Amino acid sequence: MIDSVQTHKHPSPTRGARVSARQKREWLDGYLLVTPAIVAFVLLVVYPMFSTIYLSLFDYGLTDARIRFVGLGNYIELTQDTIFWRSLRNNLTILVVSVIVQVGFGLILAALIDRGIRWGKGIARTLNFAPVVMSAVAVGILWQLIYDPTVGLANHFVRLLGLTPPSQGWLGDPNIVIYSILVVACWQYTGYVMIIILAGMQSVSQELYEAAEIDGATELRKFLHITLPSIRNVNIAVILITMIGAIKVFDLVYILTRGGPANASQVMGTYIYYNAFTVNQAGYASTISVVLLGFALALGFLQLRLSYRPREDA
Amino acid sequence: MRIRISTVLVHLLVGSYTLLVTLPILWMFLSSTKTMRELFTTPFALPSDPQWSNFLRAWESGISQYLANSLIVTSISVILIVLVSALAAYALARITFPGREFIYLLLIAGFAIPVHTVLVPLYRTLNGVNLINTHVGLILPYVAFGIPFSVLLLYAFFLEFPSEIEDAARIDGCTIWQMVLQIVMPLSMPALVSVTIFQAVFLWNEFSLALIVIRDDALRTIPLGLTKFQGQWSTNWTLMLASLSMATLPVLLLFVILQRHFIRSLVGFSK
Amino acid sequence: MIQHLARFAFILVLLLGVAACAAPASAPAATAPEQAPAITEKQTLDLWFNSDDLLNQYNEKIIAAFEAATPGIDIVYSPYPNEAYKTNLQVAIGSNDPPDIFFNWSGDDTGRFVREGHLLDLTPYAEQFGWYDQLSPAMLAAFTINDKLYGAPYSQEAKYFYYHIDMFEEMGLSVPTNFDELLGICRSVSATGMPALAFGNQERWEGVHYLTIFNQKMAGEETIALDYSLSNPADVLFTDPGYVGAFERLLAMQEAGCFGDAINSTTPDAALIQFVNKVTPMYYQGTWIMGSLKENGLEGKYGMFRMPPMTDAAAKGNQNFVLAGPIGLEISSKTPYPDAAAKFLDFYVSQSSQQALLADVNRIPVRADAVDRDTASPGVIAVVDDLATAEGTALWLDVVLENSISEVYLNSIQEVLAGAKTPTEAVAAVREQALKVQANLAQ
Repeated sequence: MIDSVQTHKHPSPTRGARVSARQKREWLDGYLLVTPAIVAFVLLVVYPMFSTIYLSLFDYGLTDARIRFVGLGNYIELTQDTIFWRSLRNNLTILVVSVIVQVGFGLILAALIDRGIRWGKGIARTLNFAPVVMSAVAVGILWQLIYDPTVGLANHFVRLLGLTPPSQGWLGDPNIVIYSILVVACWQYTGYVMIIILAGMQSVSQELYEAAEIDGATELRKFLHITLPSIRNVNIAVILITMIGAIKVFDLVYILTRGGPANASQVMGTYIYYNAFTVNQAGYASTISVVLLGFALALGFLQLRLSYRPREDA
Repeated sequence: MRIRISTVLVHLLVGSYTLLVTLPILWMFLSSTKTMRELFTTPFALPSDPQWSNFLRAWESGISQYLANSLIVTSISVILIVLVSALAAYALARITFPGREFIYLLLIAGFAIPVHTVLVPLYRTLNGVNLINTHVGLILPYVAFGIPFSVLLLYAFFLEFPSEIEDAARIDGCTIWQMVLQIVMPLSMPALVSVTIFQAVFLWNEFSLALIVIRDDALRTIPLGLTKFQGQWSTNWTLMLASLSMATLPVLLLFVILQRHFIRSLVGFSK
Repeated sequence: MIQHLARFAFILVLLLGVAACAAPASAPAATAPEQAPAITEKQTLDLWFNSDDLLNQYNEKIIAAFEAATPGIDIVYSPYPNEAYKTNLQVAIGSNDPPDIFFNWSGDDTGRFVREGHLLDLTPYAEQFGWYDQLSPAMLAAFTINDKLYGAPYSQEAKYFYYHIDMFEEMGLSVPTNFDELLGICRSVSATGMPALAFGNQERWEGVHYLTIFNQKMAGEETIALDYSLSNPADVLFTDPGYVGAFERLLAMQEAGCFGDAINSTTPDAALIQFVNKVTPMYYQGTWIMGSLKENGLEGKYGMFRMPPMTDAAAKGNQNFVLAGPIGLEISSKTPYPDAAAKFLDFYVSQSSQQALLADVNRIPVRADAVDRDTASPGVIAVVDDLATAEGTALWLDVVLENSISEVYLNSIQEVLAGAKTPTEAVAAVREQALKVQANLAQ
């Protein structure tokens, strides 16, 4: 990642008035070049962000003319809103499990493919990565069918193994629904993590492994003492990406359950949508948005700070 | 060649895991050609009488329209993103104008902003200028949200870009626009391709913004179209699976062909 | 220098040009319409519908016929899946570009649009086209608020138990005459290993239909009218024990084996498939499925009965009520072509259209002259006759209640069925939300 704002300086010829004018022209060019990007970005991303913070102080409905200042009233209501706390808990559950499963499995899989497989490396990579390019909508609808109590693959599979499927349905049981959703998320994104880690592993110098081999190290030891430390930065990056994805999740939950049954699988993203568009509480939705923004920005800055560390490349 | 047991085991392990992961996708394609009854009774078997008509029906019921819409929205958005981001990234990397650092940090911060936190104000803004339910109303936010990532990626690339070429061009009397558009960009193809692929895949599959901006059936992109089918054919699972297959096939095929580029662009994201 | 500025300006103009070419596929409706444009100009109207394969085909046929009969008016048809329809409509109605004509339920679904000024007053059109003489007065009344008509009803929907005649015969069952007998049927059927009723509550409204009729039968129609309209004082609102009783009846059905497993994750359409394939002998559903039943070859093979009366003293409501409600078409107050839109509505409720509605889709028309007793399906005749004998109708709970309160009901039913909430807790949650809304409206 980028270590600091660098630039490659042009050799400046002389001091004096000529440099100033020229530099000013350069600066103007610079401004012109960045203007389209900045204008679009500020108008449609930054300004709405401040708008959201502002709107969170109002009781406001998108489809009627109602707009009433309530100050911190929405925030107070938020602290007592069991559905909000449920959604926050769900986000955190998704975060923890995603990191453990996606990064854990991804790591193991990458290690096996990198050093354990001799035939079929390419195919294994391709097939495991394929779910990543599918849209969340397609994945969601597909898995809804898979989880269907009447005709779904899941129940069929479970019965083949001699177990009984959940009586309320994979997506209908409030106790397991978030885990059913996690299965889908991990199915889709473990391959993504795997690929990134694999790329990182492939830049580890072969000589290190050969030296260790001469010393009689087992594969496991090589993995723990050579591979893992070398890809430390990649691992950190991947964990952060997974965490950010877990906080932002919307599409998959919306398609699979809409946040149901009875708000059991609500996450902050879907709860925002529900408040803004289904029950016409756009002000309250903005309040939840501010909380989500807080989490997202915190994780974003964490990612930024961690990428400032000096690299430990060999 | 001695084949060790552990090697066989590892291959088996990875192989069966990979098969498990691929199973849902296989099931999706397989079941699209089955009849409903076959779906109920023999989910894993091959179809005995492939119903290719399912694909035709899905195509006629709107997939063709949705594909066209997705193509329009995605390509225009990606072109704009790449253009605008390349210009900005070049400026950030090469020109030390005041305010550079601030812009850089602004982009990094903006990168973390999730779309859902600004859904309400975005909707209001777009509604206010009557861009709701138009493709332009979707393209503009797509471009805006795609800028941070693209600028940061291209910025990192331009930092490493050898300056000798630019110095030579400067001596020859190039203006900055000629420099950027005619010299630097063509030589930055790998980075541009990476950004293009990443954004194209992301926008092709984008759902949340499309959900609130697009309303008319004729303007729907593929993800929205799929949800419409979901409601319309909620009992005709094989037809639904056929439309899912048709919707995912283009991206999957493209992925298989351009694997290396895909992976490189998505991996670059983590750096 | 000038060169860059020129290039830059060019790019800006290009982008603005693209933005200016924003061409919505719907009629321009940015400001309130002033006069109707000249007749020679092509008038394009959006029509939004809650979609269903059969109804879509019918609608497209009607639209084609209308466009042929009235050149100069184009209808752009947008069907939506049922579940998201309400949300989509609500958001669109409040925007700067609402749909011109759209499907809607009565009750508060229409009421709140009227309160917010989104609907066109149809009274003058109704008088002009003669709807008051042609269409059922009860249906028109459902869409009338403050003596003004806001919707053109085109069908009546009611909820019945459907049962396979042959399965009943095989199992020696007969139509129940009261609620306890219904529970008895459930017990007999579930003893054979199959659930008695198909029940798909994933979209939550199937559950709320049970509660609708139970509320009416238990708490009584006067009480619920006051509570649903939030007219009762705060200390009385939703305190009638009948509400808890209604939930208890639902649980009683569950305990008697009326329902199968995974009801909260079964879609209504999956439940229909179960019934059609005889996985269950009964199905409690609206009359809108009669078209599908006919398509699946079940004409004449099924019987129907209402939710049976409750015989115990705790049931205070009139037991001769039926769960029913009309559906209709409404026009946005912002449409630039009100006359054209009203013409379409008139065409939609004309005798020929209504006859086709009955013949093609097996739905119940709202005009007596559209029902031909010789050719109509026996199921529809049975419903029409039965509705004539009812002393009143209970309107679907999620239509008559304010949106956020009905959300609480919809969710609570899922929770009660899953065992996550008790009936008392569920009603307490409803009361809490109702009080909140009542307080908000008072401001």
